[in-house]
Amino acid sequence: MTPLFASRIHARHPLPLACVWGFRLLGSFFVAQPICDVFRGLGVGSSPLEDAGLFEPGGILLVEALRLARTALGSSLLTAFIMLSVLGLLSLLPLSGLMVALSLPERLPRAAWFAEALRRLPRFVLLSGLTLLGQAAVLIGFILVHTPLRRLLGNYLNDRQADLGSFAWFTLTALALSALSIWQDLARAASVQSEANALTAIRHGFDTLRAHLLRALGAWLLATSAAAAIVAVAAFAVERLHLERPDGVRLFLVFVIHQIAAFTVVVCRAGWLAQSLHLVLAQPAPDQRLTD
Amino acid sequence: MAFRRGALLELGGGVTALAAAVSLLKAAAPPLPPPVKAVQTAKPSSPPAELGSRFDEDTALPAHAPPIASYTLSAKLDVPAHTVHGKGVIRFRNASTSALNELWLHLYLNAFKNEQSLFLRSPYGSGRGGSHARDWGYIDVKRLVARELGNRDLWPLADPHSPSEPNDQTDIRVPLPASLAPGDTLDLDVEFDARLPEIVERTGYRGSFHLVAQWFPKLAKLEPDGTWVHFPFHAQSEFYADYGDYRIDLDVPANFVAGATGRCTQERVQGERRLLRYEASDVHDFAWTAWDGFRERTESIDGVSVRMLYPAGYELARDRAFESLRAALPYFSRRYGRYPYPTLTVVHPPEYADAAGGMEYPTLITTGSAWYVPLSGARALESVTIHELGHQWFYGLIASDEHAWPFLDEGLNSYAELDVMEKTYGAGSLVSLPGLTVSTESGHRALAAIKAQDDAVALAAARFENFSALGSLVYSRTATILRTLANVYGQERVARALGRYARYYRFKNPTPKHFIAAMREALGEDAASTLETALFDRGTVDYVVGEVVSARVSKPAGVFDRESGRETVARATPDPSEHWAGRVAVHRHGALRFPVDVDLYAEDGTRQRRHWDGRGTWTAFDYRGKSPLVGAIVDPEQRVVLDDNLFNNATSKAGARTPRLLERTSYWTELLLAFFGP
Repeated sequence: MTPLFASRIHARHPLPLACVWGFRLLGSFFVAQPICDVFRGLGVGSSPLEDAGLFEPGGILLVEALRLARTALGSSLLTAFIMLSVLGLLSLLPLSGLMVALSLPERLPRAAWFAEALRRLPRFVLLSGLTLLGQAAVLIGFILVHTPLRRLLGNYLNDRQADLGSFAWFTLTALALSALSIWQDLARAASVQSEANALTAIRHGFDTLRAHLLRALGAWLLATSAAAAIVAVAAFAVERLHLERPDGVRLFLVFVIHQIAAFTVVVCRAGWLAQSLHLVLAQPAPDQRLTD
Repeated sequence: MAFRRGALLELGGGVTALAAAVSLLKAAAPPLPPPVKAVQTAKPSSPPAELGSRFDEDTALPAHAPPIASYTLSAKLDVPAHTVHGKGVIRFRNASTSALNELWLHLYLNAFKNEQSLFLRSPYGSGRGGSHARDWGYIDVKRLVARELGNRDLWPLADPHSPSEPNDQTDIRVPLPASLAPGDTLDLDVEFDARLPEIVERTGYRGSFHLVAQWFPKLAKLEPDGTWVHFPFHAQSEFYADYGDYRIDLDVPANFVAGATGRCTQERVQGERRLLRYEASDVHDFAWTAWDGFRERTESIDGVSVRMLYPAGYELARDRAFESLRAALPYFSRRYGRYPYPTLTVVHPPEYADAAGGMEYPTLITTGSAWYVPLSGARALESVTIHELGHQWFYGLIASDEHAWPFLDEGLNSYAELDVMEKTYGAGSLVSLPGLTVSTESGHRALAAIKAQDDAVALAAARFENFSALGSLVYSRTATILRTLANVYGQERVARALGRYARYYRFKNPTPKHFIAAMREALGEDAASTLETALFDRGTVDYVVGEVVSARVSKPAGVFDRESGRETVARATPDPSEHWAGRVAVHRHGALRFPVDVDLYAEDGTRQRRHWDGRGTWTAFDYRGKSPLVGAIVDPEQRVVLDDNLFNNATSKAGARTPRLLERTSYWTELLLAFFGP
């Protein structure tokens, strides 16, 4: 049985993991900076205590900041969203690098590794586009069905039962969205594992998902749940550091805790990606089956 | 037109026929409560010189309200038609000093009769509840027979519509054929059919759920000088009426659960119908509800039997609402005088009738939220429950004119709600999530600031631009003004002022001058004057830190003739004390004045606190310390929550720096990429 997580990820692939984490960290600063500029322009942080007041219990300064920034923040958030989308697209490169590294038993020289990652990038972009289209279609389906379904259920069930029925529909939608994400990762794995074209990779991804549905779903859920748990633990720890108290050490500790969490989330993702590479290998490619 | 109809009846010998009919009806009507002696109506003319510490305690509370308008009615609910057939007796006592030649009746269900009513002509087409009228509602009065005036039916004499409103029938004048002397009592036999609208403005039906409010012909408010306070139903307005005793017999389907103002004194099932009698004294309105989907639970809180009616599946919401009532009911009783009624009914409407939620009637309130809201970290359910409970005092027991002075009920009650919410739920009284708490104070402050410059707070309900402006100014700004006074002058002093006001004016109809006088007594002239400016004159305040300068202390330069001889000191000769001297200027914008603290920050991390009484438009504080000044904060504890802009309250030589915000925003961006990115 293939293990849910490929072993020795950390030891074998520190650089690809650091690249994914570092890219996200650096990119996120670019996204966050214009948002912070909006607040600074309103006078947020122009206190001897800097912006510590934003984190005070009760949120009086936080709510005040949002009230004052509500107009300017709209355009700033739009910019941030565009930047985030570009960042998402660019992050396919470190992701490709990570998957290439995970697929190989030995480390490649950096230049070769980078070239391999770059070579997969167009297929990764295509797969991301297709997945986004599929997810948009699922979301539209959800929206179209949700209101009439809730109304229909409301005719026969009490509020809570009807809401739970509608939540079940939401869960189904979330599962469908997740299945598309899983398929995307499997197709990416197929395109990394073989020289097959995009169409073959897509079919290989589907075949793998169909053949190893539970294992794929289990591994993906485990990785995602572990990542979510780590984020929750970090939030719990950070809350106890009382960032509203204005000293640099607290801020540094918060940054460290958050980045440990962010890096661990990358490791969890890598664990799932390694598993997807295993699953793809275990499933014969469509062209191989045809040859056989 | 009304005169001609009346004359025709007289000519037709209708008097005799009517007298006979009324005699028959009298025999069928339930017995009336015994007449009471005429006493002056409860409205205080001018505030007393002092309320005094006597009103810090409940011993000074009046036991009852003198009844002026009492109703003994029966009401039969026809569920499929959504109609209520009502009949009975209205007993009215002229408690004024003048003889009366007319009555005014409010027929508020007619607000939903046509699109030309004052209510439905409002630009947004909905009332405070936010829902639009989707089905017409109206009330048809069949007769209004005055026993003491020759058993004459007064209804044919009534004006056909509200004054100056040809299509509105919510405010109807009924001329009296003979004067009603001061102290005289009039018994009016009344019969009517009420057609409920689909829920709008917290009355009506949705499916089989019925919330029946403003459902009967209701007398307007008689003032001590004999004038009537009456008004057509405006979309932004609420109500004003005299106290009285109510005895209402309800007739609903046997499988329905009903709840109402007052105490249920009789209940029996007769065939397919459930017959209930509700009795309430010392109240000025009566509302009821009936639904075949209600679950119920009753619990005794602080000696009051609290009955909660809620839909199946709302058990968590029910428990949260009870939890909030357990905290708030004793607290309000302690602060504003004990709750005098034996019962309280709390109605949680189903989700499809949520427009019925969030309303107050005497001893009956409606709360509301989806069943899952208590799981979300938002305290919307607790907030609305406590708010509506607070209205039992600020509306129910202190019956100010909600139409003319909405801040006296909604504003003071919003402060009372804020007070309990924060004492019960702390910093997360509005939202409580891991890593994020938002207090009710923060929410009210932000809403108050949005419309701060738009209009005064102390306006009549109909004079606000829209309900959003009313909400911001009347609810949130009043609460924020009072919160600022409490923060600056002491929570206990404000609590004492409100407590005395609430006890002294129990069962009375105070106006703003009575409220201001009570605040003046407890907080002093400065605070009262500030309060008046804030309420009536669009008073605002914004503290701003101005210049922050400092320099190393040098020896005074120049040529000095000392005892030891002439000494020339060069410029910038260091003082041996190696101290720094500086100055911080603080400005006060706006007409409101509050005393504030000012913190001066030095480079070595030390802090010096100064105090400013707020007089003048600016002041400056001298600094002397071992390192240069790097910044200052005025009102560092944010006591003046009314401050227009909290971010100009501080300045720093280092400029604006937001490292924590940058760290948090970028971390969230990382998480977004991790969980939703490719």
